[in-house]
Amino acid sequence: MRILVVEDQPDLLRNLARTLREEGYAVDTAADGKDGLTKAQDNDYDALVLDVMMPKLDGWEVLKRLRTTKKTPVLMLTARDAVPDRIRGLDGGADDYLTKPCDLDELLARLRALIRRSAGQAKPLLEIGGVVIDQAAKTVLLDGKPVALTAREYAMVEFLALRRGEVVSRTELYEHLMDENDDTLSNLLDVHVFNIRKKLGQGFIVTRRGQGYCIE
Amino acid sequence: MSKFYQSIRWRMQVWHGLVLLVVLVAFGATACWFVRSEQLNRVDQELRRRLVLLAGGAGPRGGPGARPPNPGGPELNPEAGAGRGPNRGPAFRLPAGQRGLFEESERGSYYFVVWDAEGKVTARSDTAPAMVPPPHPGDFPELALPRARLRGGELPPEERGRFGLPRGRGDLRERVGMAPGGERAVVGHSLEPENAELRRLIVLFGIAGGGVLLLGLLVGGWFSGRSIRPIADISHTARKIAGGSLSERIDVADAESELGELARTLNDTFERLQSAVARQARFTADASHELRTPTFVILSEAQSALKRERSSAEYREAFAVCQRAAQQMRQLIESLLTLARQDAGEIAPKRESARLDAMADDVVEMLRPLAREKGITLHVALAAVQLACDIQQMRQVLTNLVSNAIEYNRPEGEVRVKLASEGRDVLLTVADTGVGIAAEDLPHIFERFYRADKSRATAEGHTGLGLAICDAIVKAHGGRIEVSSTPGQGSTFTVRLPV
Repeated sequence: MRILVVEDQPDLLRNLARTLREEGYAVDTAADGKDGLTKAQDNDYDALVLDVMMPKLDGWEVLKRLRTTKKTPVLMLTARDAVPDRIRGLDGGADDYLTKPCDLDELLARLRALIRRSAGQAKPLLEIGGVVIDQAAKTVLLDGKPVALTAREYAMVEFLALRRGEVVSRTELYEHLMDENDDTLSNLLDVHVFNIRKKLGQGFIVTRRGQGYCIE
Repeated sequence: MSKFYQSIRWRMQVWHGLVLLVVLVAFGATACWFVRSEQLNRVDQELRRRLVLLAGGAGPRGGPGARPPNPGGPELNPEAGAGRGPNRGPAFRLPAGQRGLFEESERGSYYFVVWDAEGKVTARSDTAPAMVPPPHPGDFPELALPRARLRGGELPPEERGRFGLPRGRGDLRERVGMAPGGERAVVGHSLEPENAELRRLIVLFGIAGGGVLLLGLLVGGWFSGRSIRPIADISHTARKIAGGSLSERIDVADAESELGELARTLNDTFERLQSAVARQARFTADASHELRTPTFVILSEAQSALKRERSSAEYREAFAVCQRAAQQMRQLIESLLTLARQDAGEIAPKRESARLDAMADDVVEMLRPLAREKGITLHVALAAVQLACDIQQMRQVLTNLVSNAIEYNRPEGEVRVKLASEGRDVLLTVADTGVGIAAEDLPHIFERFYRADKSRATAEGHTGLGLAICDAIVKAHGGRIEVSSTPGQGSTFTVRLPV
């Protein structure tokens, strides 16, 4: 899962990015609205954390312009908590609204919910055969027993599981699992797929030659 | 809602009723008094006429009600009275044919009683009551009084000493005559019919007065209700406003009246109240907004640091972040407190005589390292100026203006600080060569939390209150602060202070 954080307070931006990375997300950052809008338009993020009060372009404007082309789930993060502000945010196309200061855990939970819903899933538990994926705890069970996956392996399993039945291209996978600073070679994906098959069963991820990967 | 008897309307009614009552009673009493004196006057005249007749027809001469002397009666004159002989007839005798004067009638009857010198009744009319005490000469000192004191002064002088003043005996009105020979007569009249008339009149007055009072109260009540209704409207609206709907206004229906003026005044007050509350709310929202960001930085940094085991370098970094945020909060809180105190008028500037140029020089030297860091040249032209001011506050103004000029400057820019006397004023100008301020931002630049560039604030630790504080301090010193700016070339802040 790849997330863009747009926030002009440098300490906050760094901290949010670190926290999200530690949760297994691929995280891009932008320190002002203009940069944020460009990145959001150029990439397909799984979610956007957007501050409202920012230089150059404020959050409202970024949201307005982004919505002309993208459906990316957006969580507005702002110190303005007046009810009209929240309504304006939600009506302006935001999917969720959090006021500063909020709890990091709440922020993370809301992001999970946003990503889950945008994939058309309502349940936090994904069951695929004998594999159960707990999106809140970020753990995977095989036949009731926990399986140790690396953060990136988990992210890959979750991403494919949320698009169950769809064929996901290698580019798409690469874009959603690596952030902008990641220069890992894309053939690393094959290594991850190999490891996942070893842990969850050979048939868990199907390779469609020339198209991509799929969980059926 | 207050109790009804405490309402203005009720009090107006009561006073109105009381005044109306007093007027009606006074009017009735005066009317009754007139009627009564008219009655008594009439009775007294009748009594006198009859007494004169009884005394021999020596009626009054001249005056209203004069009638010709009775030709049938004997002459009664002073000589006759003085030379009273046994062969003379009684001094009081009812002439024949005048009996009708002492008979029962609807208007009440008159009576007479005549006594001889010994006090024996010699004649009396049928109408006389059983007990009529004979008058005693000593009882009527007024008979000896000079004529001028006698009522009915039209009596001839020779009749002086004959007819007494009217006297009242209970319901009876009497007039006493005394002949020089000692004969006495009383002519009387029962006032019963007059009393009855008066009572009827009083009852009539009572009924009519009660009606007038009732009508007056009804009309007054209607009228006071009408004139008080705007007050009820006003208080209704005021209650709504007190209840929180500050946008309510009183409907000024009758703009010309005093109540219309009151309503207008109140509406103006509400207007100012509303804008003051709105300003306060915006200020509070801005202040909490400014405090939320550093709070969130501290909170999220701490939460993130505590999520798992960290290296000591990571902890150190987390603490540094928290420290920065806390310092920003402290600065903001100090600024907010300064403004709040100034708003409350708590810190009137302490006036001490000080060399403003020395203060400015101090501040410039203090900020020189910051300027050097940004490659900015400081030009200082300070005339020697002595000013009575609050040193602490004035230093803050200087620091805010000069540090703004340095920070909002272009790299390798210039800052000019100038101090001069102009007439009776001290003029401090701080000019920079920065990006300047857009024309639409200029009028708001001294407002709290107003930022021309929304980005500068949190990043560089500005609170957005510096210029607002400068403005408040300069105003407290009786001066004013102005700004002019050309976008792209720089801004000039001018502080004008009276010496």
